[in-house]
Amino acid sequence: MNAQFKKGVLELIVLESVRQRDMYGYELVEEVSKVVDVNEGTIYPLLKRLTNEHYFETYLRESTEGPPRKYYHLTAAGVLYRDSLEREWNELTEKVGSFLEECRHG
Amino acid sequence: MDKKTFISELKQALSVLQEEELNDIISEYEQHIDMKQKNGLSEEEAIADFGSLSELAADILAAYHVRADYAKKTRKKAAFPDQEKAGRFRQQAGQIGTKVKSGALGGIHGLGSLLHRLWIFLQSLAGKPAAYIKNRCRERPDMPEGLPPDVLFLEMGEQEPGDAANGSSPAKTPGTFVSRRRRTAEGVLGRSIKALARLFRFAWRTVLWGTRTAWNACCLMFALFSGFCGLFSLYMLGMLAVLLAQGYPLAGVTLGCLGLVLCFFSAAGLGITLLRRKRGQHA
Repeated sequence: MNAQFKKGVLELIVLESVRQRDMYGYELVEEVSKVVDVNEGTIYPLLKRLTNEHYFETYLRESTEGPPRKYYHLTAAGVLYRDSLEREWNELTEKVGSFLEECRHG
Repeated sequence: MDKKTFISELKQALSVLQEEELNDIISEYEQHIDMKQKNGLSEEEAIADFGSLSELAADILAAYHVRADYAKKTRKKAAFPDQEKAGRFRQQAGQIGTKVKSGALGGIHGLGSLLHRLWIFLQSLAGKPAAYIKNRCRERPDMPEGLPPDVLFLEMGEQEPGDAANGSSPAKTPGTFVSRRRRTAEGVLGRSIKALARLFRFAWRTVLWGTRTAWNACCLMFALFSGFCGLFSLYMLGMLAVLLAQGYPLAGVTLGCLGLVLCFFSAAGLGITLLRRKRGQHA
């Protein structure tokens, strides 16, 4: 997939994944990788930015497999932001889709 | 690249961040590498999945709104911390030295000036009679031989004080030689009185100066206090005016506050008017 497409949609995928359930970093990387093939390094800075912008909040939870894990939780502001991103995404895909359709028939 | 090197380089690249944040990020990446290793990947493979370290660091710094090249500049500076510290120390030491030097020179100059004034004052008390005698008693190169050693020379146009005052004897002709013993005996009493009068005048002036300074200090304190109170009242008046404009029933208080403002500023003006200055400073 085009790197610019991935970059644009990555935020929405991450927000949606955490909305379904709280996740820790590695788990989230695996979840996102199911949808788009993404460099793992880019997920952590994104998580950090979304946390700094108060769309995520974090907490530590003990793990049986090692040190405590940091879980990400979507805040109310994060839900609103995710909804606005989804709206924009739907509009964009609809417009681009109809444009491509017109071009194909026209 | 092994895990230790990766973590160390990442730490260096993110050194601009706070210690707490940095440790948080590092622990996250360490955990990620450990988990990948548990899933069967080697350490190198797990790290290679992160991609370029500089891009990763730039992405993380962008999340904190920090320019990626800022950390590089900081690292370059940190490479020479001793020279930087030494330069800063030299600059500070130079500034302190200049201040000490100018202060010491000023102090010496002030002390010298004070001593010089004291010397002039002492001269004015005791030195003038001595200078008078010295001037009068200096011997002339053309003094005739055979005169006693206590004879002095009268300057041109000068008269013996006793002669001019009582008129008992005819005035001595200027340019003649008179007895120094007789002249000294007559002048001692007058000079003593003069010195006493000067001392008294000095004491009187000192008392006047002290009184004036104390009065001025009181007036100035009063004026400053009134001024500050006036400013505070003005501030209160402004606040009350705003509240009054918003519909609060504060008309009476506002009017009272206005009166206070006028009173305090008038008192400050009075305090300044009562300041006593030296003559000639009124203009």
